[in-house]
Amino acid sequence: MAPDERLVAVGISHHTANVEDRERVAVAPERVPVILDQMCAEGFISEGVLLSTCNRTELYTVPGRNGSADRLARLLAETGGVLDRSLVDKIYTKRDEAALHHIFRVASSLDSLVIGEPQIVGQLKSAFRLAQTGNAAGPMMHRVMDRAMSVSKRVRTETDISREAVSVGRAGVELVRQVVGDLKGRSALLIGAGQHGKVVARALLDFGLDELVVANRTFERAADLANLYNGSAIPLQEVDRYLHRVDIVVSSTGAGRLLLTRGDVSPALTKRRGRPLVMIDLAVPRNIDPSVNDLRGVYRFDIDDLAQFAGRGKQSRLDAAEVAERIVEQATERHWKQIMGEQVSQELGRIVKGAEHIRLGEMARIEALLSTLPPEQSVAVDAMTRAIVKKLLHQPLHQLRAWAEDGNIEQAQALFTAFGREDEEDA
Amino acid sequence: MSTAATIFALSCLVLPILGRWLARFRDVRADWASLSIWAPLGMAGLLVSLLAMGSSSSVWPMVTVQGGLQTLALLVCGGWIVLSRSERMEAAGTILMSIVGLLIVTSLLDPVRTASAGSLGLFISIHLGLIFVGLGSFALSFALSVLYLTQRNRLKSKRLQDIRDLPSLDTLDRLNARTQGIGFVALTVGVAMGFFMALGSSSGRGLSGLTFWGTVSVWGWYAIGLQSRLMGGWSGRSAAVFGVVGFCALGAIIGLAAVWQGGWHGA
Repeated sequence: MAPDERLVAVGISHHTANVEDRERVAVAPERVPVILDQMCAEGFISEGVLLSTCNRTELYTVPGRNGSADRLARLLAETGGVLDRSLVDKIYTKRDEAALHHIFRVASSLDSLVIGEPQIVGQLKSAFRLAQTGNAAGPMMHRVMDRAMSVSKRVRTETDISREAVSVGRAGVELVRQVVGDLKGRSALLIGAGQHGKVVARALLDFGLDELVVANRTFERAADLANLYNGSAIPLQEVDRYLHRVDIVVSSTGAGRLLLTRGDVSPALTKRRGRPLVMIDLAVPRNIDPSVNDLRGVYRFDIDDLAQFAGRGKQSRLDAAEVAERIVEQATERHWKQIMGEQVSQELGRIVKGAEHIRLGEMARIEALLSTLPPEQSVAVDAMTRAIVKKLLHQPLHQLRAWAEDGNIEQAQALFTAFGREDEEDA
Repeated sequence: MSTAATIFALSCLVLPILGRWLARFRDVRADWASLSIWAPLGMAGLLVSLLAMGSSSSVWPMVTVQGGLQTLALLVCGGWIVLSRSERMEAAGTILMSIVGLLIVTSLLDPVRTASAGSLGLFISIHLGLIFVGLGSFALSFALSVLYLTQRNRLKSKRLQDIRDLPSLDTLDRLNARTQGIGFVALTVGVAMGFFMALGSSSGRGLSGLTFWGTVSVWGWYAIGLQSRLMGGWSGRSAAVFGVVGFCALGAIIGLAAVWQGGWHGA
């Protein structure tokens, strides 16, 4: 570990990479604990949290004996199995206070695609839980994550950043609910396995959707997705037969052509007896003929409509973001000092323990001589050595504590390193 | 006393609408203009006015055009308070309170007339009461229908900025069906009572004329609308159009009965 790297954040996000590149480093939740455990075992990290969403994959970590920020960036580029050199340039690295500042910005949704969107808090909490599952969440990550959540809460409470902010998934749900109302008792048809489609489907289920039918070009893929969402799978060719049954159609295939035309939708409407049908086309190029929107009872929205809806109140959120940035900056400065102070306090215990270890070692060396002494003299020697150690350490430890409390982390670190070296030489 | 209470009621309903209008076009705060505060006050004013009217006359207030219009205004106000338990019903309140305001103004302009001897019975008060419940429900249906058509238009034309100001299409359609249903049942029973009363009377008054044929036509219109909804699935836009057209026809009948005829079945 480089001595100046106490906290590192490496990652790739919508700021630096497109969807395809982000997909290459995305990590499924079930793999997160495995990867973190492996990194810990190989000494690349001593603790860490891996956050992987559709907009970012980031590793927040305390580098281990074999790890450094640059090494971790390369490891992230290898997540897909082989080192992808084109990705290395798109991976950013932040160290120490800058890393903490970045984590606070992410938690406060200042770094999100839709500024102020609320999902990131839940995603960060899930990532931390996964790190705890894999025993990769040590004291530093606990401190960082606790503070990130508290800063995020403060930003949301003290600014209007979350007002009217919605993610693409939530925007889809909101639009659907403006037509069909409560999602309880409703059913949806998901065509394709595109990222946005899955996000909208997930959000619909979270808001109480009763039934999800998945259709895909590859039936096995549809079955996998249906299994994941507790739904049912159908072949893509049978989509027409389900149009009169479902209330919502979400399409996000990479077919590159229209899958549902006006002629496909129109016959289904007779059987629907006036029940509205919401069609969300997230594919580019489009899968659902835009003219179906002219049909009675059919409401068709595409990705631009969702973005338009998600972007409501953008200016007010940008204004709020300025205030939020100031809150995050102040919080970063204060919390970094506190975290380092707590780290130093923890190390003080280690120094005292090390000194006691030395004292006991020296006492053991003269054990034979001590055994010849009367018991009260032996006890006196033990007390004397203990007092010497205590008095020798008193001033340096007092100074360390004072520096930690004042936020003079660099000086405290220098003294701590000096103790560490002495300890190592002795060992 | 009655006029003062009516003017108070009118002020309670006009002030918040004016306040919200100002807040929309000028940079003015309108926290005070919530209808959930002002509508009950307006209702109280109308109730006092009707009680004053009743105490100064030997007939039920609703038998006269003035009292009848105020009774209808009171019912619409109460209906909105029930509706406002659903989310985002402020816009419906604005429409309904405008209707209430119009009813109150018409009642103030109408000269106080004494009711004829045939109007004195409790039976006729129930007949009128049921018809007013029907009309009040159709007024609620009208407001919901207007909101439905507005919201539908916004969604179809992708003007998505303001869609969260109004309830979902499903909520609006469901409430519209409910208010039309309640209105239809009340109107049916009310009209049936009136019919049998007229048959039983020696003059047969009320079995012809604008109010009779107008009410029967509106009843038929809503009957077709509800039947189409039940049998043909004519919900949503079709039901909303039925609601708007039906209530406009009702408004014309009430206006003509009040202003032109000078009484529900003639002066």
